[in-house]
Amino acid sequence: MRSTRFGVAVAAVLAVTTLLTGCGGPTPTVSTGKSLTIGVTLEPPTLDFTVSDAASIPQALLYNVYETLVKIDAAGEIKPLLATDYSVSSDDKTYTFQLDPKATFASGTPVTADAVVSSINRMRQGTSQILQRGLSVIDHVRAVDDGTVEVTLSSPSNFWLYAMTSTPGIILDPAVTDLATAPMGSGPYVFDSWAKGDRITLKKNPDYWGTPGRFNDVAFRYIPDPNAMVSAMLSGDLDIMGEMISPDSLAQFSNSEAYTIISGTTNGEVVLGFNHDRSTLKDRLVRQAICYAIDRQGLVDTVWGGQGTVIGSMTVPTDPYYEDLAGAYPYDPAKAKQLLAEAGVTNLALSLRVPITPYAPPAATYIASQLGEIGVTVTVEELDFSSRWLPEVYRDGNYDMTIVSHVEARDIVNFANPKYYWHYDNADFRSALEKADTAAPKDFVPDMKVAARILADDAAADFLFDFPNLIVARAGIVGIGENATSLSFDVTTIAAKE
Amino acid sequence: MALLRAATRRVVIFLVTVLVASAVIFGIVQALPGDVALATLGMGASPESVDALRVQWGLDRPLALRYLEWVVGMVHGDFGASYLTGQSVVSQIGPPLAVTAWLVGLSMPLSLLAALPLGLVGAMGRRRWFGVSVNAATHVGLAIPVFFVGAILTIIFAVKLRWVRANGYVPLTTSPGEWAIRLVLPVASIVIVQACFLARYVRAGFIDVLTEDYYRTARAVGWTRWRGLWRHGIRNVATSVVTVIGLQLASLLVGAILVEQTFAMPGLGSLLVQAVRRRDLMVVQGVGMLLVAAVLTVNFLVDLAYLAIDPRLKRGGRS
Repeated sequence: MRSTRFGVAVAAVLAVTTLLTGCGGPTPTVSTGKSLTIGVTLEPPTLDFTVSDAASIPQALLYNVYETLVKIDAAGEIKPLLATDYSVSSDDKTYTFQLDPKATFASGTPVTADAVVSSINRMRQGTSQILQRGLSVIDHVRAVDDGTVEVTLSSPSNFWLYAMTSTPGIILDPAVTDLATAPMGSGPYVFDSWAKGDRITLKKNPDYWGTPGRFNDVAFRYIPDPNAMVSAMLSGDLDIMGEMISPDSLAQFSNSEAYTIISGTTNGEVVLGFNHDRSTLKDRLVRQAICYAIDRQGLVDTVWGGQGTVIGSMTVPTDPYYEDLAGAYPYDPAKAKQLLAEAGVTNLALSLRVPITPYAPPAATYIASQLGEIGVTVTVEELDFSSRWLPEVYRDGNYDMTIVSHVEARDIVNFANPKYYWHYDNADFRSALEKADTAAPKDFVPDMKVAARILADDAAADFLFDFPNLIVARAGIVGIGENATSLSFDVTTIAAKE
Repeated sequence: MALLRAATRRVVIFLVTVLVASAVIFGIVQALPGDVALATLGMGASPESVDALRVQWGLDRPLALRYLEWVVGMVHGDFGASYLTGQSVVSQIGPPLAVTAWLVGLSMPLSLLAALPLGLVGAMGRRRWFGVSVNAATHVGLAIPVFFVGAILTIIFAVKLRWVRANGYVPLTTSPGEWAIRLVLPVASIVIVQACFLARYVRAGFIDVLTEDYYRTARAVGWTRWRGLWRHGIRNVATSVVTVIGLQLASLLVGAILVEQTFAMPGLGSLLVQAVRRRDLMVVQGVGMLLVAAVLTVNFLVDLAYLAIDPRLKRGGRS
C-alpha cells in the first residue's frame, strides 16, 4: 500500500514535469490583422495628461484616441486634422480654424466650435507644465459659428501652433468625466481597458468620421526589461517592438523575411550639457575645446551601435528649421589643446555626473577618455535619475557636465531660460529666439536657423547626436512612421498585410 | 487555557511587530533620497511648481503627523492613496497581489513535490551512482540564479519551440488558457531552483534517519529499505523542510521581484519597483506592510505545521 502511494507521487512528479516542460501545451496563435500588439517600455502613471507630462500618455493616446485641430505628420509638417484649414490674421495674433463638418467624437457627438472652445479652455486650466507653457500665450478663444473657432493670442507665437499639435491641443469629448481612467476623444480608436502593469488596450471606433482604423484592437504592452521585450518579440507575442532600448539586440532581428527594422529620427537630442555657472565653462574657448576634443561619430559608433545622427545644435532633422551643423566642431584634438592654451587653462578637472540610463554612462566613459587625451581630467559619476540626478544636478546645479537626451520637441527654448539647469545666459540667443517665435509664419524658419546657429557658434553645449527611432515589426506590418516627430505612437497609418 | 494564552501571546507579538515594522518602513521610505514632487514633475519642474505640489500633497506637514495619519488610517483599513493618481493603495495592490500569489502559490507545492523524490533518491543512493548524480544535479540547480533559468527556458520553449508565451500575464478570469500558458515558464523557473534547494534538506533529513536505531529495528523486522525510510523518515524530514519552506516562502514573496521583472509580470515586485521609481511613497509603504504581514502569517502557519507534524509538541512538551 505504501509503495502504491509512492508510485502515485512519482507519477504526479512526472506529470508536473511534463506540464512544466510544456509538452502538449497549446500552440500560441500568431496574431492576425484583427489585433495589433506593440511593446513599449514605460507605462503611464495616469492617463490624465492635464496633470502629468509623462510622454507615455500621448504615446498611446495622441492621434489614436485623441485628436487635435492640426497634427504633425511623419515629415514634421503641420497638417489639418479636426480643422480642415486655418488662417492667421495680419497681426499674426488671431488664428481662425475651420472645423471639419464630418468630425464627430467617438460617442457620436459632433465636434462643434463650442466643444473645441470649452476643451481649449479646459486645457488652459491644466497643471501640466507642457500645457501651461504651450497655452499661456492664449488671450481668449471664441466660437464664431458652429464650425469656426477663433483663438486670439496675447502676442504672436509660432511655437503656439506647434504646441497645439500635441497634448495642449487635444480636443476632449465634452462628455468626458474622468481623464485619468476613461479618455474620450474623436480618434479612430477608443480607449478600452488598462490592465495596470501589463497593457493598455484600444478598440476600433466603428463610427470614425475619417479613414477607419485597420485593427479591431490595439494593445500597448509595457515591458520594462529589455531582454523580456526582445523575447516577447522573438516568440511572436508582439507585432511591433516600439522601442529599442539597446541597439545591441538589433542583430537578433536580422532575418529580413521575418522582421522589418525601421530606423529613423526622434526629437531627442543627446546633449553633453555644461554648467555655465562654473567659471571655466563660462569661457567659450574652453567649451569649444571640449567640442573639438570629442569624436561624436566615433561616440555613436562605440556606444550606440552606429545608430543615431550626429547633430550640431539643439535641433533634429525633422525640425522645419533644421540645418546640418554637425561639421561645426570636427574632431580635432590638436585644435582643442590649442584653444585650451589660448584660454590659459591648465590642469582642468571637471565632473561628469550622468543619470543611469542606457546611453549616458557609456557615453560618459567615452568622453572622459577623449578629454583625457587633451589633458582634461574628467571624473565620471553615475546617479539614479529620480533620487539623485534630479535634485543634485537638475535642481541644485551641483555638476560641471552631464549627459541627457532631451526628448521633448523644440526644446531649444530651454536655452533661453537662465534658470534651467545649464544656466545658459545669452541675451543674443534669447532675442533671436523671441524674434523667431513672434515673426510672421514665413519668417519663422530662417529666424530659427539664426537662433540655432548662435548655440552652435557659442558651443552652448556639445550636441552629441539625435537619438534614433529604432522599431522592429514582424513581416507584414506596414505603415509605421519612420521618424518619431511627435510624442504619439501613431497607429492610425499602420496596417497588416496577410 | 494554555492554548488561549499562547494564542493571545501570538496576537500581541503580531501587533507589536506590525507596529514596529510600520515605523521602520515609514522611516526608510521618508529617508529615500529625492523629492517626491520633483520626481513626479521631472525635467519640466520649476521650483514653484515643485513647492505647490508638495503643499497639495501635504508633504510640507510634520513627519510625525503624517505617520500618525497613516497608522490610524490603516487601523481603519485605509492604506492611503497614491499621490499622483489619487487611487487608493488597496485597490492598486489587489491585482498584483493575485499575480504574485499565483506565482508563489503554484511554485512552492510543485517544488516540494519534486524535492521529495529527489531527496529520497539522493539519500538512498548516496554511495551509488544514481544518488550521487541526483545530488550533483541539485547542487548545479542551486548555483544558477532564477532569472538565468528563466532566460534559458524562455529561449528554448518560447523563442525556439514557441510552445508557450515568453512573458506577460493574463488574469485567470479573462482567459484560463492564456493565464496558464503565461505562468508555465515563471513557475518552472522557480520550481527548478527551489526544488534543488529543498531536495538537499530532504536528503539530509532522510540520511539522518538511516543511522537511527528505529530504522535499524524496522529493517531487522523485515521492512525493505525504501519502505522503512519512507515510513520513519517522512516526519523527521518534514520538520526541517517545513522550517525551510517557511523561510523560502518569505524570501520568495519578496524575491518574486526578479522573476516578475524577467517575465514582465505585473506582480507585487513590479509594483514595488515602479512605485519606488516614481516615488509613489504611499504605495511603497502599503506593499511593505503587506509583505511584513505575509511573512508573519507564514511564520505563524509554520508553527501550526510543527504541531501537526510533531505529536510531542501537542502534549504541552513545548516550553
